[in-house]
Amino acid sequence: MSESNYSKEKKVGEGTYAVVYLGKQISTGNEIAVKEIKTSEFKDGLDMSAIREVKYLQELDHPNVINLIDIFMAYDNLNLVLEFLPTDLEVVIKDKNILFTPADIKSWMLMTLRGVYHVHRNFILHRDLKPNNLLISPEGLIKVADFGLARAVPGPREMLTSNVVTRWYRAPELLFGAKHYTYAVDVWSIGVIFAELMLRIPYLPGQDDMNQMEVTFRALGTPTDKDWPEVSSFAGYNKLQIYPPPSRDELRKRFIAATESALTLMENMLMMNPQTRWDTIQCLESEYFKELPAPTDPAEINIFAQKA
Amino acid sequence: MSREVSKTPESVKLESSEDLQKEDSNKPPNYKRISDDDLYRHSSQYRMWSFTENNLRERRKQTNDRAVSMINQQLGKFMEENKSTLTEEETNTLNVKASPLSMEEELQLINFYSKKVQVIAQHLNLPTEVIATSITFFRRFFLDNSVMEYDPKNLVHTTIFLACKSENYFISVDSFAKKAKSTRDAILKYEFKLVESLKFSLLNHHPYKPLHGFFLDIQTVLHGKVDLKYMGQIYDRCKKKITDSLLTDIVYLFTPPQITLAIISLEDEQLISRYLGLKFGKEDATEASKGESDTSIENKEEDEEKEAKPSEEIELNKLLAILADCKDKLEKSLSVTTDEAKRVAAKNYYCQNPSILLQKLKRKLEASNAESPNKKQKVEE
Amino acid sequence: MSAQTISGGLDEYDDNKDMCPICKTDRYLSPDLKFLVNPECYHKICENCVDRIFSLGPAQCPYKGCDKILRKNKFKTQVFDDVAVEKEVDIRKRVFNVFNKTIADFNGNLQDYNKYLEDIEEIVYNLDHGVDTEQTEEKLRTYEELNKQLILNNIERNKKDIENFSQSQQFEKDMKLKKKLLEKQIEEEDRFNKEWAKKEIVNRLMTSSGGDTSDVIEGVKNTVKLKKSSARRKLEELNRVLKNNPYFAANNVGQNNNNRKSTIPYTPFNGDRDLNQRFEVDETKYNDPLVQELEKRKDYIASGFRTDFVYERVLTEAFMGLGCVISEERV
Repeated sequence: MSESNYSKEKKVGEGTYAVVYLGKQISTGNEIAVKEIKTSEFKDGLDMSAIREVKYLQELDHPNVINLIDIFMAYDNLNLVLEFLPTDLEVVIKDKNILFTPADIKSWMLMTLRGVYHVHRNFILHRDLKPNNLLISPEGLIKVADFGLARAVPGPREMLTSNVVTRWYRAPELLFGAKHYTYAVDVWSIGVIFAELMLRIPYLPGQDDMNQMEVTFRALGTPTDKDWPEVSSFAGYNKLQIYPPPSRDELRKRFIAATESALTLMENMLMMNPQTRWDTIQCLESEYFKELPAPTDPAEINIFAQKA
Repeated sequence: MSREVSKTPESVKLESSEDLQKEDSNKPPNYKRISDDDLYRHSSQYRMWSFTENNLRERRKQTNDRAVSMINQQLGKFMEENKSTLTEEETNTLNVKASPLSMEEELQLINFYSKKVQVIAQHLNLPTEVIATSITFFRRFFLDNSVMEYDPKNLVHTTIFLACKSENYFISVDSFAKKAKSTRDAILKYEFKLVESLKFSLLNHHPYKPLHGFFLDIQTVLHGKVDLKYMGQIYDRCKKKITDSLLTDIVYLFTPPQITLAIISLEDEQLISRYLGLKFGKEDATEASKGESDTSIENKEEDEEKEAKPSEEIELNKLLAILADCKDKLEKSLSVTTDEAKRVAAKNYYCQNPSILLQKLKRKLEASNAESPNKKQKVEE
Repeated sequence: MSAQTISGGLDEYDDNKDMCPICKTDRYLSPDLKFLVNPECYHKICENCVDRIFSLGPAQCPYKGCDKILRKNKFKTQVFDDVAVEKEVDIRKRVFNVFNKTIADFNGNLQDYNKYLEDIEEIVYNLDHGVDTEQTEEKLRTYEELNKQLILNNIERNKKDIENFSQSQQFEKDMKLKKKLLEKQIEEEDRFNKEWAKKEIVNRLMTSSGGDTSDVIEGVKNTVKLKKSSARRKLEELNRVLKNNPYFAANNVGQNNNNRKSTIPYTPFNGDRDLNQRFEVDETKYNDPLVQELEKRKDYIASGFRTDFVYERVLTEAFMGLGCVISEERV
């Protein structure tokens, strides 16, 4: 549990509350990443995001969730030692030199769903799923990372904040300001990621919070009380523009490479009504994963060799 | 606490170095299959904060020994420095009143202050789980830290504040300081040390949710045979008893559902024995409930399961024995009186500050001399 | 490797596709002028000349400087513009008819397969460039003799593969078409039913004698539900048949090179799931006023709140760790 076991070699990123270094675990020589939390920024003692990351990563042990190897204090800073993950899904999607196939997409979806299933099984909501937070290990495994916004599912009386998840991946109930949402918000995020993997551009890119609703409903239809009971009880519902939901044929035209089962899976992950939206179990058991092509073996997904 | 990074870090977890080898040998054989119990075995509470009585004793002894040798060193130095000026009376008093605390005395002080944590947290109207977490954090801190190294008084507000943050009941440190009549610095001073001593494990499984769960399951298993109003009444009593149980070592020795069942059993033994008998008694009962769940599995997955080891089944007798043990310990737990606590606290203070005890003695002597100056003069003559 | 090196003289006329260098017939005069080549020397001769010169038996190639003896039956139409390419392709065809192993014959050993391919390439190169021709031809012959049976088997297998592939392609096309038609049908039916339902409701309400309006509407809806099934049923049938159809399995062989992988059954959770829970959630049996009151509130319903999530959670917490015996598991 001490600083001397690890060496920080290169700074690779800086966020609002932490700086990430690449380094080595001295005893084994293996590569690791060190996330140094800037404690001086938070005036109320230890930062909430740091507490959340530490709290939840300590309990989660799964091949598709990032592994917290160690924690140590140094110079009044909290340092998290994490496994070294060279790239993430956002980089892969954006880099036009990297070519991937539907079988690769299926493999990534499978791993992401397995990881999130494990998180949900431990009664934790991730609340910030996006391609940027789906890191990829040198063996090709997807690792769900960044638990800075995560929290344990609260008791039924407690209220949650709806200001979570990066805008483009935010579920409609969050856009409406819901305070008692569930795991469904994570499933929506994965649905949007699925679409993005197939299109290779962001699927619902809103410019601000108001616009996000507009973009979402224009693409997937405005929800009504009929398919989403009590949605009209949300403030601001009456001001909404009513768009019709897309027909299956329209979706086929938009997602030309998608099979019927892929579209079914996506539709159910992007169901407007959070109560009927599929959970991770239903997603994993869907037809999409059973039909051909089979998901590529992660070790054989060729994204590292192709990079220029 | 660090662990070696392997090439496929799937099975790497954070553990204390002592528990490392023991943990490996105790891993359930079919580690990947997540039974309900395995889910608990993955938690930090199981891995880092579950002990046998011997474990606890050893650990506390270790902490105590370390602190005692430090105190003795300091005292030794103090005695050396003041050898020439000390009277025999003073030396004797110092040896009695300024000696380091024993392990048992430490525990008394810790338990006393844990109660204080509960009272203060309740006074601040914090939710039940936050109160429970505060107490848990507090007691765990003093498993590896001695009261002679850190005055428990100084940790009370810190643990409550950290518990609020950890349980998403966020209050700014300034408003907390105001309500608790403390200062920002006092609250934050030991926060890092607290988090470090907790080995960064902040997620607790308290017995409250199991309480809710068992109440639901009892309604299923004993459907129609139990009065729901009555259930509602004992529910609240049990809740309170759970909070009290957190002040004891029970939480280290048993798992949350075991504690919950023991507490309900203390309220109504018949109910629990009927419930458990029906639930885990006959083979048929368990088979039936297993068969009904999840008929929508892929055939292949079913086949795989049949080949692998079946998930753990509860042995009724074993469970009952555990519950009996737990109940027994609950009933035996003693609370600490204020007087006892004061005595120990005084000892704690003086052993760290022998000079102040000395001053007090001197002042006392002077005061008694002032009362009867005649007597004194007579003696001197 | 230009055409000129092979054909020797008569350069100017080789690229001229409209005149036979032997009989000097013009395409203008005979519009059906067709050229043939012989793999012995790849000299282009028009059909008429081939007929005239070689019908009576093998003869020397009429090109100046070429002394190869040609047979009529060896002449064929040139497929590629570049004669060099034509030559190489012919050589490859000949070699591959003998060396016709595929990766499946190497049990997945990539290294051995690659070595095999390299050896073939060397043979082709030698034959193409006239390097060690005798020895190389000898190699070819010996291999053929030693592996006669294997070669025959492979020929059979390769033929079959190609056949399967084209069949499954066709099949897929057909199925897609069928599905589309059925789906269109379903849409049609839905639309029709909606219209019919509206009219029917109005009719019944008009003719009903004071019956409950909601009942009438229910009744119509039920009839519609029964009607709807036919096209849907057909589609379900189709999907079911497709699942069991071997054509889809055959199509997969091209994708995965490792036969061993296909023997591992697909498990979505990778074995990471316990399906034997110690409890069952039966909401009808619960009297839980707190939670049951919440599920009626609008803001809860709209947020996606589900009571079964709450119950699952507390029940899981109640049973997780119940069987852990800490006094034994911690030494």
